[in-house]
Amino acid sequence: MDEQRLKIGFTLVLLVFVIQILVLTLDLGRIAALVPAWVGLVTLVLLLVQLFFDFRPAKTITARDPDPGRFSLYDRIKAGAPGDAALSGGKGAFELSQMLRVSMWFVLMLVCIYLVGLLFAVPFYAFLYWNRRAQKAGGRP
Amino acid sequence: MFESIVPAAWDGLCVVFSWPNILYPIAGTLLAMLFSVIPGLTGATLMALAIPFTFHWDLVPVLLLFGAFVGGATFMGSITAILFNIPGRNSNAATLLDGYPMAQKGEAKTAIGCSAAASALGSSFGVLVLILLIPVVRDVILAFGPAEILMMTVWGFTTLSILSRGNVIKSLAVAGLGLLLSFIGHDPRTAELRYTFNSLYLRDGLNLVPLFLGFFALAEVFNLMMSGRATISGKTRVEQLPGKVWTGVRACYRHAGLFLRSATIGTVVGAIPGIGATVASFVAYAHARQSAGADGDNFGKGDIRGVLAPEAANDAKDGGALLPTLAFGIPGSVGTAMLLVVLNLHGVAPGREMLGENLNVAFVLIWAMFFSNCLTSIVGLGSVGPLTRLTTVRTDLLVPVIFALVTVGAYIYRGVFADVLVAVIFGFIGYLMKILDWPRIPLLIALVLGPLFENSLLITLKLQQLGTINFWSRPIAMAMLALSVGSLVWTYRHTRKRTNSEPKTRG
Repeated sequence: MDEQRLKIGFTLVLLVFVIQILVLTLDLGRIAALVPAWVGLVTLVLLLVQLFFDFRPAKTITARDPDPGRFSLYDRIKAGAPGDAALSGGKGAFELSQMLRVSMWFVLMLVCIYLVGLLFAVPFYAFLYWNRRAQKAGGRP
Repeated sequence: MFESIVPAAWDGLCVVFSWPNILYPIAGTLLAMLFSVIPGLTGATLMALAIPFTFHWDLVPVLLLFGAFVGGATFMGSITAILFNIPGRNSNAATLLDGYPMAQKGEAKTAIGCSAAASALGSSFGVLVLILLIPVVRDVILAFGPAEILMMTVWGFTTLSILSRGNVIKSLAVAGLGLLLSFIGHDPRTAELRYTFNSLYLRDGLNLVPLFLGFFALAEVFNLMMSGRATISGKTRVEQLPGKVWTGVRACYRHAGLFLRSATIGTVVGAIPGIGATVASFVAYAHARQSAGADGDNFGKGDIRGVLAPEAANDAKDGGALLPTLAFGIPGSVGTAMLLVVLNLHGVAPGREMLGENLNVAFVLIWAMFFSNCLTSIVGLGSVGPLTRLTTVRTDLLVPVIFALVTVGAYIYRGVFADVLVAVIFGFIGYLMKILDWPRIPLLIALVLGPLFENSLLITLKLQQLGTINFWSRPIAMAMLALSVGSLVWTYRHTRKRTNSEPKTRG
């Protein structure tokens, strides 16, 4: 997925949330709405400014900002402990499918807990995860 | 008053260290340590479970055991925070901000060493202040009204600008979002429901335990799965880890000034009822970042001061929290609230009597808590080796374990499935914020300080309007206002200086 689109999308989601909060604030009494209304308005303005920055073309690396990792989403996803790249064999390039795959593990855990309860879901999930990883690693436990 | 304190303190010490009394705090400490390894479970939960079993006991063993429960549960949460980015308690969330990056750099030993030393020394500081303040406790606590609490939260918010790392708009926007999230639930004055989206779950507001667990621990699980990182530390053998325990322990002496300031913050915040350890540790963290000067940019990347400050404050707060509990019967924290229940069940009334005729009883409690805090640190230091080995375990093996710990932690706190859902949602948001370069700390600070800020602001405004207080003539509030303005000015000047020097040094 394009990095800029992801950034804009995320800011838009936050913006929609704040607008929703402000709309709900209109229905509140004066005392209950006082502080949230001010905070909401300021946050809305800040998010709009941020959205403006997000729409600008991606920043190029300059002498003042020499850290390329600061601007590359892919590098940030790959970034971890020093020496990671070597240990992970250079894996980690960002893909939407990968994100969805990882998200599915989270959803699976939730479904397991909901269906069979925490007590059974946790060992079942651990077994399933390790089994899948072992298969991917060619039988290595 | 001091003449009666010394013999009472000695009597209390003799009771704690006599046989078989010493077994109670040891057992209590070990139980609390084991219990608090599971995220979401706190010393207060253990105390609630232990009350029925100790109902028929004598007063002294009960005080020894429950004092140990209060002290023993504080430190262990920082171990999981440092090793796996899982805050054992809400107050440990500030420790993971630099503790976990240290573990990622292979310096888990240093971080745990520092955390253990800061905990033990912080607790000692809190107890010392508690003993010194017993004669004047009434005046000290009553000096903190809504105006002072308001200015303390304002000071906390001014540190957000320091934590923004050059991205002020994002930082302030995130803080605004954190505040809005903190307003979910009942309005504290009118009981009007706000932003609950007709959900029964949201009526009590967002629970911080699943939120913190998701925002950091699950976001990290997501990160581990996405990055394909082999181990947390990037090393596969313990011998390759560069960190040393004594480097961490020595950090308390190297940064003695910061330690003292953080412990003072912890004690003061702990003594103010209803604020809590989470505020203490975050304010101390923000102060550490602010006072770091030019090299403050290392914060969030594994700076030892980011571990030292919240840990010192977190443990020093126990001593402070006992002040209002013993003097007025007003609990300073959840742990001391449970303690109050236990005292009442055994016919001990806090207040003038507790700090007069029963002063030696109060000291039994104080020493038990102090001993427990020191014991947890010693056990923590002793187990650094096997614990840091966990950072060299393959992430493939760790992911389901961390995931299980987080979900158990989120679920067990209230037994509500929606808490797990909240943890997962915030885990995803936390991960996105991490990769999209949105700061996460302002959201946490705003969430913690939000309700306190709103409440104290409206009370202060009302009191000022009614003429009950004159805000501008309260010295502590004015001192904190000056501190806040000073923080902003310092940040502005520091940022300008850095901006001016960057093109020359980097270009």
